[in-house]
Amino acid sequence: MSDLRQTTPEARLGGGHALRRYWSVLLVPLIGLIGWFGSQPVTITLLYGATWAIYTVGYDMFSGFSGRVNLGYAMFPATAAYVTAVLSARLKFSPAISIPAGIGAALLLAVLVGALTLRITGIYFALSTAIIPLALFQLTHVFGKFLGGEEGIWGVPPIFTDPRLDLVVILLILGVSMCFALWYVRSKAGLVLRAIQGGELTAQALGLNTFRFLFVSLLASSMIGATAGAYLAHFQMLVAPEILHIITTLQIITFAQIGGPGTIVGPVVGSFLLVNLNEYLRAWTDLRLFVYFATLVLLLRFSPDGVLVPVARAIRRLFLRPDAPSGPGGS
Amino acid sequence: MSVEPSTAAPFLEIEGVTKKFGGLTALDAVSFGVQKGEVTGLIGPNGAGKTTLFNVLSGFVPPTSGRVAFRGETVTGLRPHAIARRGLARTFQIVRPFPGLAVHENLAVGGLSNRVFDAGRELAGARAAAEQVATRVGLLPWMDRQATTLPHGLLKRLEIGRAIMTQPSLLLLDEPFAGLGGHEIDEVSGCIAELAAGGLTLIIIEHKLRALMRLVRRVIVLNFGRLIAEGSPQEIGANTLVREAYLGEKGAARLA
Amino acid sequence: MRRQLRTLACGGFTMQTFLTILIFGLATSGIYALMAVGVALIYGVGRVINFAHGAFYTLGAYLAYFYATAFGINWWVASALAVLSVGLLAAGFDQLLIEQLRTHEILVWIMTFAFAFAIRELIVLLFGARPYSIPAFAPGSVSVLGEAIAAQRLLVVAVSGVAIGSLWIFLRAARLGKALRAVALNRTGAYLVGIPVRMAHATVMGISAGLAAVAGIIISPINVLTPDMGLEPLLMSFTIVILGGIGSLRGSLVAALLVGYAGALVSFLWSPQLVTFMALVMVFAVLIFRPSGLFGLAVERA
Repeated sequence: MSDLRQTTPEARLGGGHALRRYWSVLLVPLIGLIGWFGSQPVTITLLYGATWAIYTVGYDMFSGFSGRVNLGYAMFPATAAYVTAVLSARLKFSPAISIPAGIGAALLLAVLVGALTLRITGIYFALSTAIIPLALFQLTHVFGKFLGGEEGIWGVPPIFTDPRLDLVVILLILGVSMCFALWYVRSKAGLVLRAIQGGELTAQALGLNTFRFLFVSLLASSMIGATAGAYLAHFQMLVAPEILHIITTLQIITFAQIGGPGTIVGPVVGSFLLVNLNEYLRAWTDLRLFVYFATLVLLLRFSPDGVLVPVARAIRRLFLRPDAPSGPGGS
Repeated sequence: MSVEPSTAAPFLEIEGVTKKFGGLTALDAVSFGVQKGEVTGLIGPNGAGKTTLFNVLSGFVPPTSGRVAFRGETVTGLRPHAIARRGLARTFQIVRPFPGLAVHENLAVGGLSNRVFDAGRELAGARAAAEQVATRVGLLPWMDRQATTLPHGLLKRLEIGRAIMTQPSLLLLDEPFAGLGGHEIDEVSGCIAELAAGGLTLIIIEHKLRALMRLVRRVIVLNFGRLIAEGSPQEIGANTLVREAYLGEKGAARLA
Repeated sequence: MRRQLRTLACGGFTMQTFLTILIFGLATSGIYALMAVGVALIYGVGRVINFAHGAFYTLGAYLAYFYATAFGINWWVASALAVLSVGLLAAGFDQLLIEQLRTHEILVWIMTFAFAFAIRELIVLLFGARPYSIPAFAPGSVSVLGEAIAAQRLLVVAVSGVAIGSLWIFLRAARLGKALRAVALNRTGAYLVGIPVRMAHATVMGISAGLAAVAGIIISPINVLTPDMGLEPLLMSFTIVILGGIGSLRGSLVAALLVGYAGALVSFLWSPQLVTFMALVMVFAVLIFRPSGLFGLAVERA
């Protein structure tokens, strides 16, 4: 798997100032303010942006650093969503029970998937993870009566009536996830993941149990997406099988890519940007989706490093000391 | 000077190791022992099975049959990281720096434990250890450079430095002089000699025989997967079987 | 289902059942083979996992319909034109959008996926989302060994057989075909001996897309035209390539037959819905236990 990530100075060892590390988390309350005082459509758009941002953070902290592309990431939020939906809508449990249960289910799935697939490398790993949500999709149709089939499960009880409060919860989840991810990737585990991306066998020759590091990282990654997925089910008051489509994970990867993979903040910004683009295009009705995908195509073609990394580099060059490192090359 | 067989249990014991890849026999019942503190050379023409033997010893390739024991413990079939943890480290023939990581990060990776979560102290400790090792192998001025921007000679030293970070008691060096010129060879050679002087047991694969013979006390020769000769550098130099292996029967005859 | 199994077991295996499954399986395998071979080639020569392959399949069918109805020309001519159009489009796609990203695998995946959806949305814009029904090229049924088989299905078998056979000969005998194989085996070596590698990439994309278009066109009278018709063949073609072994064309063909017949049996004995699930389980098992597939190169395990 080629190394897309560039080592920004932030990602180096010995982390530096806490502010420098975690500054991006300040975006969260900022978005919260916009969402609180803005109109309802704005609030809801930001809510979806934040949800996708959480998925993308969860995806990026594992795949962006280890280079192991988890093409089936959507299975984690989806499992959590379905489990919480079934427990609260069908079996009438309270969300206080069903949401943790959903997250727990996703964690179990991650354990199973990790045990089975982490020892395979390269594209075979990507392909085998891609299959699982597809198989789960089939299951929702096979067990249609219980899992809702094509229509999904309706009647999932909402937590709040005011979407602004939902936004606060989602933003809290986003903030916590970002803090965790930012800490994790600069910790020892993050360094090991980056070494694994550089050469898994070499890392093993140095005594590292790569399977263990990948496994734990996958579990953490799954829990982040699962939390958002479970909550979203209650906000939307339904869960639909579309979430298990490969498009979902490919969108997450796209958001991460456009934002800047391996940076945590990049994918967050990428998610908000693209979800907003999608909403903005809603006015174009028929042409909307075509323009959206055409825009993606052009962005990928002409800015393969993503949008954020070149911008960040330019800003750094403008505002910092002239001899500051301007990017991966260093001095 | 001939080598007296030692009565002590060998540090590393290789018993009847055979490796077949389908129809190809890469290693054929190779057996020998290495004593603690010995510096052994492993030579043979291309394709003789030297790197395959290293792969078996370091756990990357399980042998078809045979046994490897390190410090009295059977290590055949253990995973690479488990063998590395037991003190048996190796370098690779083609340098494999971690791209995207700086030199100090490359080195630090070697000094990490398998605990996933730690209080952050381990990284600082690894960084300090990395500086020490970088000084030993002469990489200190390049600590913050992206590893991939280093010239070949320095990368070879990085390979060695990374392996040393694991604090091995036995180090397998796979062609440490490959691609190096005279001056660079002397530098790396000096580094290796220092390691040996410090008590590290070494097995070195090399094609640059003159440079190798200066470092080693004992040489093992492989050809077509079989151990064909064993002895001191002088004995090996005079051995006709070895000459034939490298030069072919006619070539060796021409030399005689 | 028990009834059907019992019928089979008790030798009540009628000629009709046998023939139906035989032809059905062959036709399904043919379509899958056309798609899978394209996917395998694009990966082998171009090192691209092409998520847009289903879009070429769909586009071929829609374009054939468009050419035939808008310009009032004969179906066969319209189909040929459609195949050509799709091939050229794919070659252009490869050179303009993929070539610059070729070193970044993940970017290429996203690009092919975005392109696939752009094509899908374009189709929806131009033709709407409603299903279209296409009259058969070869209408009616043919009598084979005393049983009536839909002629169109036989046509599918014939066309896919001819197309794959031609491809086989092209790769073995034609200069360009051999050049493609050279690039697949050793790209650097191919550069060194002067093979125009960029052209090889574009060519293989064009040929593979053309094959996908052929598949879409000949099966369209049997199924209906919908914008998402390419999704299932896409999934199945990936299944087959993995099963057969990435890097082996022969593997893809053998796997296409296996999957085609397994699918026909499952469809007949249980339900068509389970075919996809079956394919997924097969692929997953292969990836976990034998990633190299039936004929592929051995895979390193971490």
